[in-house]
Amino acid sequence: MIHHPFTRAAVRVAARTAGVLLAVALLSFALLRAAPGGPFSEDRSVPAAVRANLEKRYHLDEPLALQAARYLWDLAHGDLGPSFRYADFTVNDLLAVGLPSTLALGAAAMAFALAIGIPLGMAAAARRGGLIDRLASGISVAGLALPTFVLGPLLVAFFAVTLRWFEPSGLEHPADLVLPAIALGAGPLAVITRLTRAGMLDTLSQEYIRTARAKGLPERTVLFRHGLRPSLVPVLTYLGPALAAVLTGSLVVESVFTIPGIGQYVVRGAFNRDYPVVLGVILVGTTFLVVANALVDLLLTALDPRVRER
Amino acid sequence: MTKPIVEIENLCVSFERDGARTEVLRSVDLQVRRGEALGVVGESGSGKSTLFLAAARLLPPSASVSARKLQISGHDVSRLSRSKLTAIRGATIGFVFQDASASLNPYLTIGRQLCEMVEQHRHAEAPRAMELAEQELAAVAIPDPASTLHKYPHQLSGGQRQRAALAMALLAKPAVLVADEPTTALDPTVQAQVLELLGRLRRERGLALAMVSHDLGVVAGICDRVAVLYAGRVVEEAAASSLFSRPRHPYTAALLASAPRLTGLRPSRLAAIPGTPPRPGELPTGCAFAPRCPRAVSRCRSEVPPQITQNESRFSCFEPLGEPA
Repeated sequence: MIHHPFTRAAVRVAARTAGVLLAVALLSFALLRAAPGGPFSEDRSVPAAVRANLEKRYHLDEPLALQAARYLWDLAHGDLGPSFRYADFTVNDLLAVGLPSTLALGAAAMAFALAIGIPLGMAAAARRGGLIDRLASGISVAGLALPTFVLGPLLVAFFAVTLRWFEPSGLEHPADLVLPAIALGAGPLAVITRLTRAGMLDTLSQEYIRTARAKGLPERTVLFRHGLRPSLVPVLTYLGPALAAVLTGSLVVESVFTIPGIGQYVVRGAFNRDYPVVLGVILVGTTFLVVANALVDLLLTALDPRVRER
Repeated sequence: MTKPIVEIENLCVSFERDGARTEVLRSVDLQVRRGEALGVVGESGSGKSTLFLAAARLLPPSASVSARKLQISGHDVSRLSRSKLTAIRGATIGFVFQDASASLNPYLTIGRQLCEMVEQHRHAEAPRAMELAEQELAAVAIPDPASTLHKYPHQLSGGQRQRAALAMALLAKPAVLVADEPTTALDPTVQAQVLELLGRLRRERGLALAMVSHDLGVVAGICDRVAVLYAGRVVEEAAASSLFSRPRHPYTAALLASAPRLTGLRPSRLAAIPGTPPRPGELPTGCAFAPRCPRAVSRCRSEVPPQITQNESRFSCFEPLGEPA
């Protein structure tokens, strides 16, 4: 019985994911093909006969609608197709190689943003106008103003080149994740700090907080037991967009820090018109986003008993 | 006479907003004695709610509070440390607020919110705290207290929520309970039940009660003594019986005349007080009630009337109504 609503929610999420994936796949397919050029058009050295053969092998000579149908059919079977450029690899192979690094980086960036942003926002709200509050607002302005492609090299210059605390590039040890995670997480950190602060200030003005104080509870109980949960609602709602920001930001950060994630494939794939690679990465990103948003919905429901009822 | 639980002398409270200072309470003297029920009556904006919040230092930082004396059971509230203050809040002075749907935390179960009161002030842990909370819910006549513990505030009716809030305040066994418009948000029938309950619990437990209300009718049925607030000042204070039968201050008289009476077959016409109460920060010189007062003379508009004390009662008026018999 308990599993029943959850199963229903899971089915709903799966259906929604499938629908979004179909729409995104078709749209991206069309947009990619609308761009000028093709995977083999720049290689002047390739004789016309070889090129025709290549295009025939990858069905590029067929009508577009048929190619799209073929792609969707393979997609439905979990096959993202061959890469045009990495001749012996399928897109699935490439993702299997790159995805773990990208995921580790993304998770580290989100963890960094949440672990710093929430306590910082809370402390800023608890001592409004105080030193921490001003520090927090400085950090969030910097986090929003500095693009990753500026912050990344700055971090490398200072912590890797001058101080030599970290490696400037590559991903050999978990410690190598620190600088890229900071570069990638700075934007979300800024937003999470602001949201937590604003949420906490709003909560602290609620009557039930006055009640909690009138009950003689110590301030830390008032803040954590009575204030924290309601204040986190806006933060939670932001997690979906935050994941999107981290996914796209990851492409930049990976190239700044030479991390062997999926970012390199997208960038090169886009230049080379390696359609299946670009499409595959887009679809993987989309899946993460849809699932993350569904999880956020579930969490929101779990957080607020008034929503839980409905 | 035993020492009062709450002693307030010359309390002034003002709020600062956008650089402008607004006086909400102006040299208020008030006492709540052990076991008595004091009614504090006034229109909205009279500062009646601010009074006891200031006494427990529960006002936001934008409020500035000064007083010659501000004591709760002998402790100087303005000098108490944070930990002493939290020990007094709840355990000595308990609060029930107007709207329990806003004053109870919607994210926590009733049981959690009641138990933390026990844990904080009576140092009982989980199973025992739950037991005490259940007993208290039964004492405020909540049907099925055991299952109510596991409910969230929004799952209760308005009357039950207010009863739960009352049980919560009572759990720490306070010496004085401040009930700030405790029944205003409720239906009239439920209102009467909650008032009856409040009166009974107070008598049974020897609890002092400070009932803050805009409604003289609510105060009449339950209080021994009544203080009337107008524009941040106590304009009259007397034993309930004499205040209702022989009001001295014209404002009190006007309040009484504007309250509906249920005696007689045909309801008499209600007398509305002409004009509106002054907005805090735009007070007239002299008596704040003078612009609305039928008895006002020129002196009322230039001087603040001093407080006149007679026996157990006091009032501030140059032109009081009839001498007491």
